[in-house]
Order: sequence, then C-alpha cells, then structure tokens
Amino acid sequence: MKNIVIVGSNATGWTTALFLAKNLQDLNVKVSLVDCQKVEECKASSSVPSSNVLYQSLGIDLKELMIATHATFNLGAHYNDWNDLNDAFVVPYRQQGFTKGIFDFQQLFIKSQQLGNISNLNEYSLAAMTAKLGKFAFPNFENNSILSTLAFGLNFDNEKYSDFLESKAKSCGVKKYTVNINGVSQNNKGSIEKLLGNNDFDIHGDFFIDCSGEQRLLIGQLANDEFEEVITNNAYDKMLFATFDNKNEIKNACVEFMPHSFGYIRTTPLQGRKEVVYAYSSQFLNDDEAKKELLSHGGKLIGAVSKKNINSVNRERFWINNCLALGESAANIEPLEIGNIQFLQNALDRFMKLYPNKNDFTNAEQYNRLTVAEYALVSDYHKLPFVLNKRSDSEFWKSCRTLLISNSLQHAIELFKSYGRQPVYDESLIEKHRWVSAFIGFGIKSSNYHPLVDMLDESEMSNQLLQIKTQVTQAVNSLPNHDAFIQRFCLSSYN
Amino acid sequence: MNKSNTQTSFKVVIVGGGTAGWMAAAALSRYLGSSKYSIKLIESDQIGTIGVGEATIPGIRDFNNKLGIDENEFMRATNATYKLGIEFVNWTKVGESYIHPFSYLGHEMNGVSFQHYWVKQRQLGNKNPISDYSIGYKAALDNKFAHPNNDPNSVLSNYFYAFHFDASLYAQYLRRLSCQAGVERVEGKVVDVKLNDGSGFIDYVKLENGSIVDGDLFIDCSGFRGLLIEQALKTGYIDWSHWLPCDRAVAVQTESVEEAIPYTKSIARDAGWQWQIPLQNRVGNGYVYCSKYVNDERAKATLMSSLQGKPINEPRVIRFNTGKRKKLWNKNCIAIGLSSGFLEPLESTSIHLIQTSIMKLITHFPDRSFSQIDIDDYNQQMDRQFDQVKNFLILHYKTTQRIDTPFWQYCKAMSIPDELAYRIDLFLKTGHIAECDKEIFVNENWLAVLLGQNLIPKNYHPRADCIEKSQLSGILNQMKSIISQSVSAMPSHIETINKFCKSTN
Repeated sequence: MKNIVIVGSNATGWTTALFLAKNLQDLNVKVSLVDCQKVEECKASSSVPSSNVLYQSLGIDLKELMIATHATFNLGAHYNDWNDLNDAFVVPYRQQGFTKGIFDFQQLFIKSQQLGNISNLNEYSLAAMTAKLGKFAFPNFENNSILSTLAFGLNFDNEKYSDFLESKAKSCGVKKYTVNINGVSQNNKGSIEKLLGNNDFDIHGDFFIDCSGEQRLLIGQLANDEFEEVITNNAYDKMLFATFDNKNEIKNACVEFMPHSFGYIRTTPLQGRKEVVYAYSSQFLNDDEAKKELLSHGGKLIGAVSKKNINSVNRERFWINNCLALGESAANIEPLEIGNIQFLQNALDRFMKLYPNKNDFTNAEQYNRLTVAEYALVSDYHKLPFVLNKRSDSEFWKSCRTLLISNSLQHAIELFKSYGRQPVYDESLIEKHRWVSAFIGFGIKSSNYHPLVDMLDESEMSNQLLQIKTQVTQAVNSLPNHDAFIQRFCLSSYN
Repeated sequence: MNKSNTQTSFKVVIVGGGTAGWMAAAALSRYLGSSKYSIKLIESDQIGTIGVGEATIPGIRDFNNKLGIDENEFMRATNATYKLGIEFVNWTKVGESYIHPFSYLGHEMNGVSFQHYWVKQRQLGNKNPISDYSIGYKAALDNKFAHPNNDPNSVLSNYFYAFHFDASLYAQYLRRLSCQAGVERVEGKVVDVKLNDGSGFIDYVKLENGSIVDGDLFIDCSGFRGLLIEQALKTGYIDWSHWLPCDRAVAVQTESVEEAIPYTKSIARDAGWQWQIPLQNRVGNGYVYCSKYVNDERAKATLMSSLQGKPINEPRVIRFNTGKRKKLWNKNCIAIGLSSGFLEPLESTSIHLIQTSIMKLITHFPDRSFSQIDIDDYNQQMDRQFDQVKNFLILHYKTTQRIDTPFWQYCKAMSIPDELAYRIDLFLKTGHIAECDKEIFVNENWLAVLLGQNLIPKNYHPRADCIEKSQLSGILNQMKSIISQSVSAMPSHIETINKFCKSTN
C-alpha cells in the first residue's frame, strides 16, 4: 500500500492523518486528506489519560497543545444532582481507595457503610476530591506519593484541536485537497478505486479512511446503509449544543453531567469558554423549549446553537474491503463519559496492529469483531446513568428505568448488588475500577460484602479507611487551584 | 441454611485428599484462618489417589507464594525438578519435534510482534528456527537452568519456569501445612451423602464407621466419580470426547538413567501420546490413548517397550472421559480437580485448573445464603478457563500432518470449535493471534504451539518492513548470539538442583 486517502477535515481526520504519517513514515506511504462538506460537531471534546501517551508518541508537547486549544485539565466525570439534589460524585480515571490483600477496596467500603460510615466513596480518592474542589496537580510517581493516584485527560476546543493537528500533520508531509466528492468508483471486488471529484478531478488511493462523520460518504457506499436499522433504545434522541462565555467561573478539572427533566446537560470547561450540550428526548420536549432550557444554563452565548440527532445503529462492519470508517462515520457516540477520542485511539491502535497487506483484507474481520465487542461494552456502560436512576420528577426518568439492557449488563448489576463483586471484563476501554465507581456513584447498594472481610478486625478496618481519607484531605488541601495552575502552565485566551 | 445462625463457625468439608483436596485445604486454611471458619478434610487411606499432573505450568509458583511456601524446601520435599517447557515429539510428523517453552519468542519491535519479523526473515531465505530467539527454549535444549531475574533489560528476564514433582509428596507437604494451620483431617470413607429435603443442598456426609460430618460448604475432590457433585447432586457432564478422543492412560514409574532434563516430554504414539516427566529420583511415564484404536494390552506393551529405565512399580490403567461437569459449583458443593472434569494432561493444566478453581472460590467465597448470582459468575468464569484449555489442546491434535494411523487420521479430519478454527485461519493468513483470555494461556503460548505445529503464516505485518533487510538480519543475529551466550553461561539443570534443592530422600 502506497497511498492512503482520508476523507474529512476535522479532529478525527487530522488525528488519523498525523497518526498514520508518523507510524508509516518508514514505509514510504503517502497520506493525504480530502476536505468534504462539514457536519455539525460538538465544540469541545475530552481526551483521557492514555491520550497523553499518544501525544508523546506523535511528538506533541502538552503545553503547546493546551495553549493552542484553550484546554483545561480533566480528572473525570462529575455527576451533579444525579441521584438526588445535592448529591454529587466524580468517576475518576483511577481506582478510588486502596487496600492490600485479596479484596477490592469497595468490599471494605461496603462493610463500613453498613457499620454506619457516612463518607462517600469520593472521599477516599484524591482525583475525585481534586476535581470536586476545583484543584489540580500533575501526578507524581516518586516516593509512593499519593499524587500517583491522579491521572488526567484534557478538555479542548474541538476546532482549535483540529487546526493544531492539521498543522502537525502537514509538517509530516500530509497533503490536503479540497474537493467536492460526488461519489466513489469501485472495482469488481467492491474496493474503492477512486473518489470522484468535480471537473474530472479524481482522487486515487490504495486504502480509504472515512472520517466524514455521519454522512458516511465512503463507507455508506460499501455498507448498504439503506438496510440498516436504527435502534431507538436510547432514552434521548436529540441534542443541542452551544458555546458560552466562561471568563468568571471557577473551572473544575472535569466534565460535568447534570440531569434535567427530559434529558441531561453536559458542560465542558475551556479556557474562557464552556460548551454546553443538552441531550433530550423529543418525545417529551420540543426543540424550542429545549433551546430555552439550554440557554438558561449558559450565560453569554457565543455563536449559534447547533442541533443533532442521536441515532444508534447496530453495525457489524467498520472496515469493508479497502475502506475503514472512523469517528462518527463508524458510530454515533452519545455525549457521555466515553467519548470519540477514546474510541479513535483504540481504533487507530487496532488498525495499526492489523494493518493490511495490499489487496488482502483478511484482517478486517478481526478488526470488526473487536470493534463490535468494544461498542457493546461501552453501550452497556452508558446505560448505567439511566437504568439505575431513582428520579421520580418526570415520565422521562421513569421510562429510563425500563430501557432494555443486555444480559451481560444485567448480570454485572445483579452481581454487584449481591456482594459487590464484578465479572471479568475486557478492560481496554473501561477499567474495572470505573465500573465500581459508576455502580456506587449511581446508587447501587450492595446488600452484602465479601464474607472474608469479617476476618479483618473492625477497628483496624475503620482505621485503614480513616487513614486514607485523612491522607486524601491533607493532600488535596495543599494543591493549587485548577485556574491558577492553568494560568501558570498554559494560559491562552480567545481574543 | 439459616442466615441468623452465625454464632457457630462456617464449616467447610473437603471430600478427598489427593492433590486437589490438599491444595484446597492449604489455600483455604491460609485465607480462612479464624474461629469463624472450620475446615475438615475427609480421606481414606484405603483409597489411592490418581496423583494427576506431576508436571505444572508457571502459575504454580504464584500459588505456592500465596501459601508462603519456600520454593527450595518444597522442591526438596517433593523430589522436584525445574521445568522450562514441554517437548512435543512426532506430533506434526514422525521424526519432528518442537518445544513449547515458558518463554518469550523474540521481542516486539516498533509495536509489531516478533513472529512477523521471523516470517519475513524466513521468506528472505533465512531458515533459523524460532528457538534461536527464545532463551527458555535454548536453555531447555541444552539441559541448562538458572533462575530468571526481574531486570527488564536483561534477557534473563524473558522466561518463566514451573516444576515436575511427585504429586503425592506434594499432597503430603500441603497436608502438613494445612494441619499446622488448623485443618482437621478425618480418616474414613464416605458411604452416603444426605441432601436436604427442601433445598437439595448437602446436609452431611456419612462415613463407613457410621459417623456423620456436617457442613455448610462441601468441596468435592473425590476424583473422577464425583461422589458429591455427580453421584449425589446429579449435576451432569458435558462430553468432549469427539474433540479429545483419548479415554485411557497407562502409567508406570521408572528409575532414572540419565540426568533429569528441564522439560516434560510428550511423544506422539500410534493411538495417543506418551509422557515422560523427570523427577530427581525417578521418571514418570504414561501412555494416553484412545481405546477405540488400541486395547489395554497393546497400549501397555507399547509403553513398556519404550521405557528407558527399569520400571519400579506395576503399570496401572486409568480410564477417563474428557469433558467437564455441567456446573462446577452446584448448590453448596464445588467440584475441584478430577471431579470437575478432565482434560488430558498434554499441557500440564490439571493442577493449574485446580489452583484457578481454588483462587476463584476465595474471591467468590459464599456465606450461608449461597447467592445464586455469585455462583453463576463463578461457573461462567471457570467455564471460560476450561474452554480455553480445551481449544488449546485440540490445536495439538487437529494440526497434525500424520495420516499413518487411523487415530491420527481421525484427529486430522475431525471438526473443531469455530473459535479455534478462526484462530488457526487468522494466524495462517496474517500471522496475528486472535485475542484470548489472559488468565491461562497468553499469545506466546499460542504462538509457540502454532509455529511448533508447523503452521507458518503466509504473510507478515507490512510494518515489519519499516526495518530494512540488512538491519533486521543484524538485529536477529545479535539476539541469537546474546541468547546463545547467556545460555552457555548458565549452569546445568542438575547443578542448579544440587545447589538449591537437592532432595535428601
């Protein structure tokens, strides 16, 4: 393969371009990117701790990236008022609490609750408390420091992120073409030979990557999209999003999720701005009312309010012949915890591992199998905030409790309810501890704990818990504010 | 079954004192050491034990560590030798052999697994065997052994080891440990199992002398017959003999005639395969065969005529049915060891499955309410373990090129589970190893056997071409020479045994 063509000039397209250009530079593969019609996309996105490793491998400096994209730090997902008013919890990127021995920490925690401990799980996690209190620090892995339990991703301005990656990719030799794509030309084996542009300007390639978003300009031609069934097993089907001025607010180092009568609101802080997304059910709320709600949460609006449908489709093929779909061309991801960037990273790693020989696409089946499994797992995880809710304030939330869930999710919930145990998961996208944080955060009360926890002396156990909590409190008090940290490290501003 | 009745201790009753029984007793006594629990093990001196799997895989070291066992002391007590892998002789073709080492085969470069570079080099005409790039493999071939280290920059960190030991001495060793930790050994034969009229749970077992042993949790380590799990609870069995057709083994011990080698030997025979397991003081031998293709007398004759040393006991025939119990944990009874199922000892997995069952029992340890969802989860997790071992074993048979006997003709032609067929196909076409559960066999294990069975991928990862031809051959030569130097500097297997753990028996 000598010639790879990416379609879509956006963050997905440019990440892919830069990634391929770097990884294939010794194979003399030409990587080019074709601009196409833009579709509405969220204004902010969030990376995860493993993204920092990717950036390093791509030669991207964290500080430079943060300045260029007006980024803030992200220590996890902050759910506000989710179970009750005044209830707030963070799902951080690292395990909450720690213990030696054969039990997971939650076993001690569940027992302590039954003995009357009223602390919440977050109080045993430095990352969670740091996020809640609007603080931040880099992790530190020296001297058994408790700062080693911190892990961060970033929140950034999506357009700026795309521009930043574009300039990096171009300096690695990626060429950009601006063409209106009128169609694709396939050979008799169903592979794409070329993209048909205006005025007989065609673009040839050996392999094509569709990053055109939900337009699915290439993969849609190969996949018979018209026969696809849209799954309506989501609580909500629409989203509105907009950017607001955020100059005077404390920027917590997290993404915030807040329930609303007929959906939920996601707020992502940037430097000087914030993006607010309102995902809602059109069954209960019309667009105008939704817009009013959104604006009431924002402050000073910057630009226009955009709108998108959230459709999930159960797809089985993401790589067909010589065409791979990435980002929203592959799947429409809900604006919840596990976002596009995480999927994209996993997808790129998988593609590089299964990189094809010319005209031999045997690996596609393996790629597709793994991707299907990954989406299924995330779809399970993203059901938790809805099926576990206990709200009684609207028909919407009541209906969420009756959403269909997979047998494996049913099993995982029942198992955790029983003795706080967990099945064996594939942890490449969502670690075991994250499930625990979510189960406990969304209010599952395990009726029992591991019987062998009783082997520990009760007062000794309470001491252990108290010690962790004290350590966390002391550490968090000594940390700088997130705001101040950003000002020192990577200040940037919208002019 | 009364939850409020917690003032009396929770009683664990283990039925059967073979390898499985004493492993369970030793581990549980380690984790349940408190007045809240009591552990009894019932065994009878009149019932012999099978002493399965005198060969192990590296996970055994974790198990022993968790029990606080001193390795050298344990090796001395059980006449143990070190084990770097398994040699498969005549499996692909008569006259060919390979080793499945507990060792990395080369190392990943630029995010591309080593086998791709090896395939590339081969296509370019360099026919160096994969063993040249595996320190564990090389050391085994040269009868060397040194303990690996933990320095990731050292080639001596690239291999692992297990043991060959006398399983009955291991059981005795664990029995001492268990009894010191408070396990009560009850001598006697179980003659009856009393089920609760309401719940169907086991209330108690009755011994030949009329005494009764009651319990909350019963662990069935009674061997093939499954005294509790099958005879009493009628759990049912899933038969895998169409995939793993061997159903008998004849075993005999012989005197050592040469220095113990640091690996198990598995030699394919006309209707099955023969094991050779070297201990410090003797060699364990056995012929695993399929009774459809050879009768006991001829199997015995084949074994006896191929022995290297003088037999020191009478050959004994063992019958089995490959497969597994429908539920490993049923009501208040857990089957561990041969009572849970039987997969032939080709990859020394019997003891590993025992230790996995025990450790999962500890993470899923019940109280008197015996939560069904937790039991279901245990069963699901164990089913996956059995399933993976099953597929790994079938691979050895299915990919033979032998058609010289009806047995091998059957194996070569048999249909296999889809998951395994997919795995073989993917490897042959692309050199990739399909994802696998990481708990027992990882990519390196599959790779060693796939390549060993002469399955050579047609293509390699295109990114292997990032390293240019002459540079690659330089890297490979260097790997080869570092490995060969490191191995020649190692002491011999026997020297290491003599230094650390020579048996005094």
